[in-house]
Amino acid sequence: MTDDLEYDHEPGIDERLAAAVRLLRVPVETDAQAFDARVLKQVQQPRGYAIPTRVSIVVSALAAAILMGVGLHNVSRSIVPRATQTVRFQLADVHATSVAVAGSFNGWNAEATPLHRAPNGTWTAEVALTPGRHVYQFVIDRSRWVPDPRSPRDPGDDFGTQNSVITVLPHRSGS
Amino acid sequence: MTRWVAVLICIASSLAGSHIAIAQRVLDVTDLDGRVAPALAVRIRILADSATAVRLPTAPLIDKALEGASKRAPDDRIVAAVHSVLDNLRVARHSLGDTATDAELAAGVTVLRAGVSPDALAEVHRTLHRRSLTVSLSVLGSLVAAGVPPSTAAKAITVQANRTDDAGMLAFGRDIERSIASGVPAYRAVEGATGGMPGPIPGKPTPRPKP
Repeated sequence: MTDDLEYDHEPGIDERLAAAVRLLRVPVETDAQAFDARVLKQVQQPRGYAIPTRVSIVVSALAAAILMGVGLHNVSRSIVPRATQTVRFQLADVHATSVAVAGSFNGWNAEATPLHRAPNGTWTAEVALTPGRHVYQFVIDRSRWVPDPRSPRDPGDDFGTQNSVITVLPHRSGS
Repeated sequence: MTRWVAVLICIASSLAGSHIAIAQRVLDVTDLDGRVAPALAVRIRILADSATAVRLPTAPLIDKALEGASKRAPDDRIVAAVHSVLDNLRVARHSLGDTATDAELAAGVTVLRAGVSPDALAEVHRTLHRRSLTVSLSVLGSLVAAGVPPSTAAKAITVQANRTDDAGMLAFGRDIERSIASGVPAYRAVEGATGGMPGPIPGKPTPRPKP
């Protein structure tokens, strides 16, 4: 308050300015403990939901699985057109030592799609095919080309034996 | 440790759910590499270039060449077969029009080589102009292969196309083939499946290529 008196008695100081100075010099009453308590309360408050560590691991794992699944699906789609249908090729031949199916869907590669033998001598393979018309033959023991006895024949026989035909409809219709 | 187990479980489940399938893509001339002798590949590439020049698909040519190579056919025979496919692609384009898809053209080649006339093919196209031809042409080819005369088979397809969808068309073809296989004469099998139909589509049949 000494300063106030000095200002008060300083010549040329406007009375209103002196009043303002006095007002500003009045100490502000603060409750330091209450302030600290409020700050601590904010700091210690949990941020959103507290997730247990194990739960977070499981959630992360599921998310990773979904992402991987989507990734694999996209990779698969880039190779195989989306609307494929799984077709089962089957041939009964108890004497064969190997059977494969070769056709327009695998570039006539006689080794790309082997059939697997069941104990009763039935050879089977499942292949995803796009909708449309596919021609093929079975290759027995890597040398003998035979048509599928259960499928219609292709009318052409450019290379000595008639191919078999399978027509795959779009998924919705079934085949 | 728990984290690694979870990751491994994820990988295993994703792999188990993934679809294992044969890669199907459109064949091109590079598919000849390593599958046919270089000299034969050159001859096939020339034919493929001819197809490309008139905006015809090359995949049926490559497919035929690979078929011949896998069956160990002589080179000249392979070239003749590929040449025949190219010739019939041109005819199929003419019969089916510029909007025909590659699959429809390939199916058209099959029925032309089976002996169906270009006029009959065009008639099938006109009858089915609002839907895909691939299934109908596939059934048509199979009927001819089963012994139905080409013109009769073409007429049966046009009659049936107005009555059923693609699934029904496949069933129709199977019924006829089954009847023929059981000993029913081809014309009677067709008549039975269609419930009677008018005469065959006129037109000079395409001579079947000799093997």
